[in-house]
Amino acid sequence: MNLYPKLAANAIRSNRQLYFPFILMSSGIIGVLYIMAALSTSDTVKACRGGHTLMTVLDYSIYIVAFFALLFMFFTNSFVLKRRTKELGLYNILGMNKRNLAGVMAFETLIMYVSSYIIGSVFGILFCKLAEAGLLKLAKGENHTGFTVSGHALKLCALIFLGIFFLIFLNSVRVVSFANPAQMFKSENLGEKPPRANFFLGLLGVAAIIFAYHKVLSMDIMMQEKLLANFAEAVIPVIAGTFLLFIAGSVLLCKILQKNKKYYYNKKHFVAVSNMAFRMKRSGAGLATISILTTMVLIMLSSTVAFYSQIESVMISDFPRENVFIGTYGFFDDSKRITLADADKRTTGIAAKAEGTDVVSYAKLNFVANGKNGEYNITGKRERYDSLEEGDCVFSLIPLDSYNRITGQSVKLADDEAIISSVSKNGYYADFLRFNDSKTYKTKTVDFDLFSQGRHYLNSFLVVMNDVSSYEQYASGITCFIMFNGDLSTEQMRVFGKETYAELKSDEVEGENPYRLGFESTTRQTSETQYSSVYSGLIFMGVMLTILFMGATILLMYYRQVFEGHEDYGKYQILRNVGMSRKDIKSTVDSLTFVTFLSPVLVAIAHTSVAMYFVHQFMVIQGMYGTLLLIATSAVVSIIFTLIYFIFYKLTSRTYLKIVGQ
Amino acid sequence: MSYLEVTNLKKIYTTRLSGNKTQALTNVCFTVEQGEFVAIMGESGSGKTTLLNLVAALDKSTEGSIILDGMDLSSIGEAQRATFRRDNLGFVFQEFNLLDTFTVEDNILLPLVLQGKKASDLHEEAVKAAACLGITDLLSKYPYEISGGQKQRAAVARALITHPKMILADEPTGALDSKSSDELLNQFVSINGGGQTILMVTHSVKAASRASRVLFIKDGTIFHQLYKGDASDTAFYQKISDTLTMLTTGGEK
Repeated sequence: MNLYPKLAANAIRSNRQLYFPFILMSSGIIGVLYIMAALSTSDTVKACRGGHTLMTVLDYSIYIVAFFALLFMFFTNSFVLKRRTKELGLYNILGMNKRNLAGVMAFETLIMYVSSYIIGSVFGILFCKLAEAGLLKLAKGENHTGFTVSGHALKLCALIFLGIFFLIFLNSVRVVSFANPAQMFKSENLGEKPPRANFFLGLLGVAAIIFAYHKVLSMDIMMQEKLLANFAEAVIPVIAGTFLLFIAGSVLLCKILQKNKKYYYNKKHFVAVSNMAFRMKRSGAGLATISILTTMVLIMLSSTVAFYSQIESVMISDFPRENVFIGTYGFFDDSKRITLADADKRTTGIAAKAEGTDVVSYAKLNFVANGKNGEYNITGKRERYDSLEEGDCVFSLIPLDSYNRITGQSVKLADDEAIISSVSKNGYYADFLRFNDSKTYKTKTVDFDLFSQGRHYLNSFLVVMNDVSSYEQYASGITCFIMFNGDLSTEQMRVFGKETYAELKSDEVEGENPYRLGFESTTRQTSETQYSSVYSGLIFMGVMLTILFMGATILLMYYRQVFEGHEDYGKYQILRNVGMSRKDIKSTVDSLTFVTFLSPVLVAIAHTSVAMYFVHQFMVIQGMYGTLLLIATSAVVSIIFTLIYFIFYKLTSRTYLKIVGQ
Repeated sequence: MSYLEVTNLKKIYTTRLSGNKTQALTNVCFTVEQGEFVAIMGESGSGKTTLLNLVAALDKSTEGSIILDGMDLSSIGEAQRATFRRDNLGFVFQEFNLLDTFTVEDNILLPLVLQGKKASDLHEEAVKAAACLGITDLLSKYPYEISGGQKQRAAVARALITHPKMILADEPTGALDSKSSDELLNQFVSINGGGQTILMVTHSVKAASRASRVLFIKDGTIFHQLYKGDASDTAFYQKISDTLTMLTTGGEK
């Protein structure tokens, strides 16, 4: 049978306005996927510090990209299919049965698959090196290998897209086999009902969005465990609300505008508004999708970029010294306790052996207390294991001599005086401190960042006082810090860590109820590479997904212009006859497409601004305080995105004007 | 001087790719007086629609002139043509050409809105025009809700609302059943009775028999014309029918 391939090739050629953009998009996706797959197994990436984490991030991203690829391609292909049912119906009437049609479509799909795969792989191979260089720059790795082609990536792309195209083929067969030829051949338009403005749904959409916005904006940083869950709860109303807003709300708006006679019966608005009411009913869902995709892109790009650029400052505040060793005694009801004085003695003892400069060592007493404005009740909760509720604060008590030792000062305090420093973002605003309604301390607030290793997301306060021993009974634990600068090899780190651990645990005897000693040793360097490889992987994924979303959005825009152009052709013909000049038609088209294409971006920017509040909270949890940076990044990202979007919108709207006969 | 003067009109289409030339109109001359109801008859491909498009200023002639009420159509540029159509002509088409997105009222008002009329006067105008055609109770309906005959009446109301110098009708009964056709033609006759000039292109002998004069066009030129004079509709119908037979069988004038 030589007919199928011939018919298939012919169909693609004669419908190139539909197929070429589709093939271009799938090639683009294949290219992106190739790059990610190639980098996830690249030796150069593996060789850079934190390469392993980076590769894990990339590995996950491949599946995310593949999933979106499936969605986009299905969606856009349904557009293509709709446009072609008439032609397929004609074949059917001319005597091809559904089997034959399936045969033609199989060849069409095959041609699309093979050509997209070839073009996409070439794209991928060409741009892979560039992407690799970019990624390595972000992850601060070195680039040595030359030009390579990844067999693994080629194979993976071939397989994934074989699957996607097969699903697309099945869907086409499904569409064709359920339609009857007369139906397929009939022209689309039989006149349609005017959209009804559904007040309830429109208002529901607005309400859902307001609810979600409120939920995000009223999130309490204290409830850090619920932060993500709260955000997730807000996402669904936003998505639902956006769909309702575009589908029902926009019709509602048009109806309201139509009620305003003075506005409606104006040359500029008359045709545009009535057209829009009809258009929105059908394309509202598409616009809502564009809007949500855009929101995702904006959030992803601006937050990852903002996070990435703050890693260094976080590292310095999280790691006041290059090497940090932390031992934490956790006390349980029946466990053995160690006094703060003992812990301090052991800590300073080990610190003396440290081979490095700027050695700092101290031990602090921790407990959780609930309250505010200076009045607190000690709860006996353990900061690490029990979930904290609203009003819970973590207090760390340090004796004055330790404080003077570390800071090199000789501060004197009266017995009813305390120095307090908040390491959380909330600060400490009272001028006194009282626990369990007993002794009252006059407080003065001081900033010291040397102790900021800890969890910033809590209301946690460091308190310095002459004698902390009366609070030892309440302590949920004692934390010992040994920190110093100096280039330690991995082996040296291990040895020193082991010695420290042994020393801290020195009086433990088998069989007793032990205190739980948690221990960790880290260097700023390892932590930094860990962070930067995660974030550079995320940025990279963000950029790749952005390319993908952009591509999908642009294609969606293009198809909509083509479809609506064909649909509106007759309409503008009538308008011309009635006496609308080309100029009037152009300005109507402009205002119409401007609103339909800009509205998703505007809504997306609104969503993004609110989501940035959450991102900001999340950032603070990570100990990042670059609020301005975050605002600037999201503003810049939004502006760039809108610009690119606008350029493509202009380009595609030309297609529309050409079709309606300008 | 006549109201509409078409002199030596010629239209040649050039196919874009092959460069082949097709002569749609070879040499058309005719005049229409104010208040006349003129029908143009001819077979498919005879050049009827081309002629109508030229008179409607939708297309430019290759040669010759069209003068409506002293205005030379070939002298006005593209931008003014739309305004010219809007202010001077009313259109009625075979396919009604109502916009699906507008109610009947808004469809009727479209030319007025394009003219920039004040919003406050519009409703009254629509009601007036609708009353003439007996569609007052359909004003708030959408095109998909009403019958073909009603749609065509709405289209006529739209054509009349600007009080145009001339109504151009292109196969206005082509998509209507016989009852609706009769009603529409009665309306045309009564509008014409009120002094409205009408130029109608049609296939239908019955439609043409209601006009005051019929022009026959063949191979791009006016071949013959008949005046109704005092003849009855039936007599005129017979006369037109005979002429058409002669035209198609190739008899002498």
